[in-house]
Amino acid sequence: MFNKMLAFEINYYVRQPVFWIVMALAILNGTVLVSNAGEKAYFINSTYAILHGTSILTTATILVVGFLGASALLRDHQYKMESLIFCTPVDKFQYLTTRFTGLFLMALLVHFVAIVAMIGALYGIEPERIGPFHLEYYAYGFLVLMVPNTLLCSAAIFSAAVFTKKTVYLYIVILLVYICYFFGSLLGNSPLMAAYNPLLEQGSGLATLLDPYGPMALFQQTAYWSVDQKNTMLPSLSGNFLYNRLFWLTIALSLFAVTYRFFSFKIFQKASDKPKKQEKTLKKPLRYVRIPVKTNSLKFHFLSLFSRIKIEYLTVLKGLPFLIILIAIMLFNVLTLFERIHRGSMGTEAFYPSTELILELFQSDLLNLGMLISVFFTVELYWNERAVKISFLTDATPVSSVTLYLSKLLALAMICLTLIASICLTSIALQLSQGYYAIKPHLYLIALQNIGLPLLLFGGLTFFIQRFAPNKAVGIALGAILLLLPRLISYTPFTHPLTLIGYQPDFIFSAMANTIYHAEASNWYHMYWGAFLGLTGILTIRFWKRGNLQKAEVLSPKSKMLLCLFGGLFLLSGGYIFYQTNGLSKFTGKEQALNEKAEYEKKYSQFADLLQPTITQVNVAIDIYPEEHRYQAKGHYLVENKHDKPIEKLMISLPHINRIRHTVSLPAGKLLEENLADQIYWFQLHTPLKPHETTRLEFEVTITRSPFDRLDGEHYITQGGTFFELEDYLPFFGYLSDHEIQNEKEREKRGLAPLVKTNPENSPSRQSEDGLYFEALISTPENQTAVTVGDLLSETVKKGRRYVHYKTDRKIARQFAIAAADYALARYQHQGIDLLIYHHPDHHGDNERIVDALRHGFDYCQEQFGPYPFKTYKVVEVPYFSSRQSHGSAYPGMHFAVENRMFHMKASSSGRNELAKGHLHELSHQYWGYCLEPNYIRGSKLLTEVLAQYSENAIYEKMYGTYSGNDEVDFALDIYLRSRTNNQLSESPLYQVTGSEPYVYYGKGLYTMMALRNFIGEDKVNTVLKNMLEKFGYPHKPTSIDFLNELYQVADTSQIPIIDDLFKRVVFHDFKLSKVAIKPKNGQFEVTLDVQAVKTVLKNNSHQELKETINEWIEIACYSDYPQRENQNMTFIQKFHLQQDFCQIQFMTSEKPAYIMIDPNRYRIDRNLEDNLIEGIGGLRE
Amino acid sequence: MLTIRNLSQTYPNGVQALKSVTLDIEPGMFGLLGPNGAGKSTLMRTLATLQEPTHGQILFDNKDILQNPNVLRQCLGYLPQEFGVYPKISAYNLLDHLAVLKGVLHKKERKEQVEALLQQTNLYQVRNKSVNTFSGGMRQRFGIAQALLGNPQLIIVDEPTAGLDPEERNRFHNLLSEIGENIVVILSTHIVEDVRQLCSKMAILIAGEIKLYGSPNKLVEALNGNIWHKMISKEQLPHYQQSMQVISTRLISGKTQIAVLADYQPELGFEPAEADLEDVYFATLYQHQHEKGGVHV
Repeated sequence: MFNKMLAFEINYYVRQPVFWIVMALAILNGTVLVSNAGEKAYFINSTYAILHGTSILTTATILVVGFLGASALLRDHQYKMESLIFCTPVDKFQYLTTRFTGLFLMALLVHFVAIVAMIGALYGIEPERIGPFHLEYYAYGFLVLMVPNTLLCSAAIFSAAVFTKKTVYLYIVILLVYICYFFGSLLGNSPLMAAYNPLLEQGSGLATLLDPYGPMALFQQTAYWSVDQKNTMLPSLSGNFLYNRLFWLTIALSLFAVTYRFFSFKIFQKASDKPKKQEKTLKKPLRYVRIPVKTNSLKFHFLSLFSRIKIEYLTVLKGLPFLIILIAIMLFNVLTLFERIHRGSMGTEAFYPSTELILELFQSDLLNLGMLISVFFTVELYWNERAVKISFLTDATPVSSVTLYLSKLLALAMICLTLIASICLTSIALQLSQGYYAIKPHLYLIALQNIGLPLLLFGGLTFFIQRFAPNKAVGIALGAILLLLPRLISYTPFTHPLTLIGYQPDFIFSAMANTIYHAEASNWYHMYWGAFLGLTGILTIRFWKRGNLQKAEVLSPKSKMLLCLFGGLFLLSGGYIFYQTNGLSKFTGKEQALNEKAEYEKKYSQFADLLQPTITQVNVAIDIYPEEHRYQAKGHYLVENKHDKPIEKLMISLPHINRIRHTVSLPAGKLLEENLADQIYWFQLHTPLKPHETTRLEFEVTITRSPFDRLDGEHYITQGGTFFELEDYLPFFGYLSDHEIQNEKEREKRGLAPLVKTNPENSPSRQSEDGLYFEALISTPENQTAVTVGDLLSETVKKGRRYVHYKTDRKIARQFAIAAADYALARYQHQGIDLLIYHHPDHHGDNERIVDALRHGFDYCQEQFGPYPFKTYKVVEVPYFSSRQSHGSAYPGMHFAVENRMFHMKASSSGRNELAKGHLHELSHQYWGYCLEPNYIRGSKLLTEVLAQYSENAIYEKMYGTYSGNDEVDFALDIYLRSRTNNQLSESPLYQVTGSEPYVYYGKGLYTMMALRNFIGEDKVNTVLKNMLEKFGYPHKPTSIDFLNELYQVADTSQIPIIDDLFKRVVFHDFKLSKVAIKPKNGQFEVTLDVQAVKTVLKNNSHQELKETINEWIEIACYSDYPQRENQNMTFIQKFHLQQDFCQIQFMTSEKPAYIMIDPNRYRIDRNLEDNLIEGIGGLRE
Repeated sequence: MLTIRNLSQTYPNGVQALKSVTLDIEPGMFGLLGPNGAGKSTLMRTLATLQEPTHGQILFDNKDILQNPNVLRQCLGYLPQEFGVYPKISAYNLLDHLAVLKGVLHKKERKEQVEALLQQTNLYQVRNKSVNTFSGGMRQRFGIAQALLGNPQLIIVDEPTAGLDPEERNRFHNLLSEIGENIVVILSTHIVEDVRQLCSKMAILIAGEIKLYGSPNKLVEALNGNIWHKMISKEQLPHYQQSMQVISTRLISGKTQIAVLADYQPELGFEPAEADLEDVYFATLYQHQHEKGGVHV
C-alpha cells in the first residue's frame, strides 16, 4: 500500500510543470556554478570546491521544497479532495508518510540532478584545473549538506502545509529559513560573536548553530586549510559542524513528529457564525427596486477603483501572513543594523547610526527581500479572485479591466510602501535608541524611490507574466524565474544597463556631498523603467483574463494614447540614457575593454624603451565646476632629458577615460601625429633635446565625470565634494604599462606574451631623479575650498570664485590629488609641524582623536626613523559614495580620508582611540612610500604597505601597551589564511610579493613584522628602517633585497634562518600541547608538557608543502585563567628550544597555571589553534 | 430580447460543448433543462460574457454582446453554479462592493438597495458576518442578492437550488418569480420541478444541442395520450426495454413502474397516464439516445 501510494505521489510530481521548471533551474545552477567558478589554487573538483558549490546550491533548498510542496501538498485542500481521501481506508500514518516522503524524495532528486550537473559541467573546464575524480567527494557533500537540509526544509514546509493549508504560509517558512540562514552567516562572521582568533571566544558555536544549512560551521573548519588539504581532505563530522547537523536534524524530526501528532483527518470548519442576537426590530421593510446604473462616468471608475483597492489591500493586511512577514523583517532589520553599526568598518570602531549609513546598510537586503515579497504577493493578488472563486462574480460586472489591474497594482504599491515604511520606522527607532537624534527623514524618501520603484516594477512584470500561467503554481515558478532574470541576462552579451531589467545605479548617500553620486542618472533610469512598467501595464490590461475569455480586450482610444505616451517616454528616456552612455561616453563591455587594452599593448609596447624626458616641474591652473561635474586643467610641464643620449621624438599619452578633451602642444617642436582613438600625440623636436636640456610642454585637459558613467571612487566631481588624482589625468610620456592586462589567461587568449615580473634579486639597485616641483592655482565656486599638496601661498575670491594657490617647496613624487568642498579647517601644531584638518563643518567630532593619532605618530616616526620633511601635515575629508572606495590615500605631506570610514566615527567604548589606526597607517606612508620610494617591481609592497602596517601597529602599541596590537595581528592573519588559496598562482614569499596578493602584504605582512620585532627586538628593527631611509632615500629606488641585506647586518647569525623563514619562504607550523602534569615542588610548580611542533615549508612555485624538522625557540606561556588576548592574566612566559617534532619539556612556575599555551602571541603561523591551548587544572596529577 | 444564433463551442481538447445553439428568449422566466454535462454551464458562462464561443452570435436588445460585452455587463445578474467569497469580509460590505462594481454610484441608493436585498433574502440579521462562514442556503441566497444588484435586465442563474432544502428552495423560487416578470431570467437546471413551477418558456439542451423548445404547458399537452404506465418486476425490465420505448422507470414502494411512449396502448396491463413535464424531458432524452442508437438506461 505504502509503495503504491508513494508511486502515485511521485507520478503526481512528475506531471507537474513546476517540477520540471525547478529541475531545469537546478541543472542551470549546477552548471553555471562550475563554469563560472574563478581560478583558484585548488582544483575545481577538489573537496573544498565541491563542498563550496554544494553549499551554494543548498541555499536554494527551501525554495525547491517550497515550490514542489506548494503544488503537491496543498492539492487535496485546493481541489477539495480532503473529504474523499480522509474517509478512505488510508490511515494517518500512510497518508502523512507518503506525502512527506514524496516531497522529500523529489526535492532530493532535484538536488541530486544539480550535483550531476556540477559533474557534467567539468567537461567545459580546462583539464589543468581538474584534479583526480572522486565520486565520494560529491557524495559527502550530498550526504552531510543536502540530505539533512532537504529533510529539514521538507519538514518545515510540510508542517506549514498540513497545519495552515495556505500557500502564503509556505512563503513565510521560506522567508524565515532565509532570515535564519542570513543571520547565522552574519553573526558567524561578526566580531560580536566570534573574534578573528578562534581561541578567544568560547561561544562561536551559537552563531554556527543558527545557520540551518551548515556551511558556516563547515567553513569554520576548512577556511585555513592548505591547498593540498582543500584538494583532498573531507571535513570531519565533528565539533560545531556535527552539533549544527544534529541540531537541525533534531528540529526536522521534531517538526515531523509534532505534525504527525496533531494532524487529524477530521476537517475542522469554523462553526458558522449563527447570529446570537436577532435584532428585535427590523428597520422599516425596504422594497427591492432596480436602480439605474452608470458605468461610463469618471465617478464610476474612481469609486470602483477605490472600492477594489480597499478590498485587495484589506485582504492582504488582514491576513496573518503579511503581519508575520512584516514583523520578521522589522526584527531582522533592527538586529542586522545593530550588528553592522557596532561592527563599524574594520570591526573595531562603531559607526554613528546616521541616516546615510542606515540607508546604505539596509538597502541591498531590503531590495532583495522586498523583491521576493513583491513578486510573491503579486502572484497572490493576481490569483486572489480565482483562488476564492469569486472571479465569476466580479468579472461579470461592468467594472473595467483597467480598474481590476490598477487596483491590484496600487494595492501592491501600498504593500511595498507598508514594507518600506515599517523598515524606515524601525530604523528611526534604532537611531533614537542609540541616542542619535539628527535624523534626516528626507533620506528615507530616497529609500522609498530607489527601493519602492524596483519592487513595483518587478511586481508589474509579474502581473504581466501571470497571464501565461495556466495555474497559480506555474505562476509562482514564473515569478521565481523573473527574480533570477537580471542575473541570467548578465551572463549574456546584453549587459547594457538598458537591457538589465530593473537596473539602477547604486544609491549611497554622502552626507558630505549631500547627494547620491548618480542622482541625475537615477532619475532617468526611474523614468525609463517607469515607462516600461506603464507599457507592460497596458499590455497586461489588454490581455487581462476575465472569466474564461481568451480574447484580448480592444484598446480604447484613451489607452492607445497612453500607450503612445508611455512608448514615447520609454524611447525618450532610453534614448537619452543611451546618448549619455554610448554617445557622450563609450560603453564597453568587459571583453571589449580587455580587447582594447590588448590592442594598445600590441601596437605600442615596442616603444616601452623609447627614451623620453622626465617631468621636473608642473604648473597648472585648475578650474572646478561642480554643477557640471567638470574640471579643466591648463598648464605646462618643464621636462628634462635625464638620459645620456639626445631625445628626438616625444610620445605623449593621455588616459583612456570617458568624456576627456585635451590639447597638447610643444613650443620647441612640431606635431607629427595626433591619434585620438589611442589618445596619443607624437611630437618631433625642432632640435633634439640634449642630455640635461629642458623644454616645455603645454597642455589643456577638460574632463567631465558624468553620473551616467560608472563611479570611480578616486575621481569624482559633485556639487558637495570633489576628489581626483590629477597626476593620473595629465599627459604622460611614453608607453603606459599600466594599461597591460594583468590576468595571464586573458593575455593568452589575446595572443599576448606572459607578463614579465622582475624579481628583486635580478634587479640592480636603481636611482632616478624623478621628483618634481608642483604649483597649482585652483578655482572653485566661492563656497568651496580646494586642497592639494604643497603650501598654501594665497587664497582670494574673485567674481564669485575662490582661488587657492599651492606650491611645493621641494621636489615631490608625481602625486598630486585635489579635493574641494565646503570645508571647515581645524588647525593644530606639534613639534613645529602645522597639523591641518579639513573636514565637513558637521564632522568635527573626531578632530581631537585624529590629532592625537598624528601627534603620537610624529613623535614615534621622527624619533625612530628620521625627520618629517614638510612644514605642514594635512588631513582632508572626502565624500563616501561606494564601498569600493579605498578608505584613505596618502599624498606627500597629507592624506585624504573618507567620511564614515575614517571621519565621523563614533568613539570606541573601550576608551581607546580606534580611529588612530587608519590615520597612523596613512601617516606612515610619508616615510614608507614617499621618503623611501621603492623600485616598483616584485616585493615593493614590502617597503610600502608592510612597513606602514608595522609603524601603525608599533605606534598603537606605544599608545596602549605591548600586545594591544595582537587583535590586529589576528585580524591580519585571518585575512591571509582565508584568502591564500583563492589565487591560482603559487603564493609568493613576502620579499617577492606581487600587487595581486593583498592578503600577503596586508595580512601576512603585519604578522611578519611583529614576529620579526619579537625575534630581533624593536631597536634593531627600527635601526634597519632608519638605515633604509638614510641609505636608500630619494633618489634611490630600493628593493626588498636591500631591506633584507640591512636586516642581515643587524641580526645575529643565529637569527638569519628565522629571517629567511619570515621573508623568503612560506612557512607554517603545527603545534599541539598534550599530556600536562603539574607537581608542587619547593613552593613552586613543576610543569611537564608533551609538545608537538611540525614545520612545513611551501615548495617554490607550487602548492605543495614539504615537512622540515624544527629548530627554533618557541614561547610557552601560563595563565591564571582562560587566556586574554592582551595577556593580562599571563603568569609565566619562556622560550624553549624545540628541535624535534615531538618532545617533552619541563619548567617551574611560581603560580599554578590554569591554562598553558604555546606560541601565545602568534609569532608562527599555525592554522589550527585549538590544540595550542591546554587546561592545566585537569592535569594536576602525579 | 435575447437572441442566440448558431452558438457553438469546441474546447481545445476536442469536446464539442455547444452545437449551433439558436434560441430566442423573451422577458419572463426561461428554463434551460438538461442532464449533467449537456453544456448548460458553458452556455450560461457564454451568456454571462465570461467565455467566448467558437462561433455564433448573441444579441441582447439587438446589441452584439460578444463584440461589446460591457453593454450586457451593465444589466447582467449572474449567479454561477459555484462561487466563493473573499474571507473576512461581511455580507453587507461585499454586496456594497459588488454594487459599486456594477455601477450603483449613489451612496444612499446603494445602501437602500443592499439593505432591501438583505431583507428580501433574509440575510439582514447576519449582514455583518463574513460570507465565508455562511451555510449553503445562506450563501446561495447571498448569491441571488448579488445577482440582483444594480439594474439587471438579464439574470442568469446556473443550477441554483442544488443542495438547498425544500424550504430554502421555495423561498428562492418566490424571489425569482417575483422579479422575473419584466426582465429575462434564465434558469439553468436539471431539476424538472424547478422549471415546471417557474418558467413560461423552456428549452431542453442535450449534448450541446437544443432538442426541444416551447412553453412547458404546450409541450406537455403535445404528449398527452402517448404516455403509458405499468408496474413490472425488475427482471422484466430488459424485455420491455427491448420491445418498447421505455422513457423512464421509477420505483414505487419497491416495485418498478415504467413509462412507455406510444401512440396506442402498447400491451395489455398498460394504463394511460397524464403526461407531465418530466415525461417531456425523459421522452426527449430517450429520443436523443436512440438517435445515436446507443445508451440504455
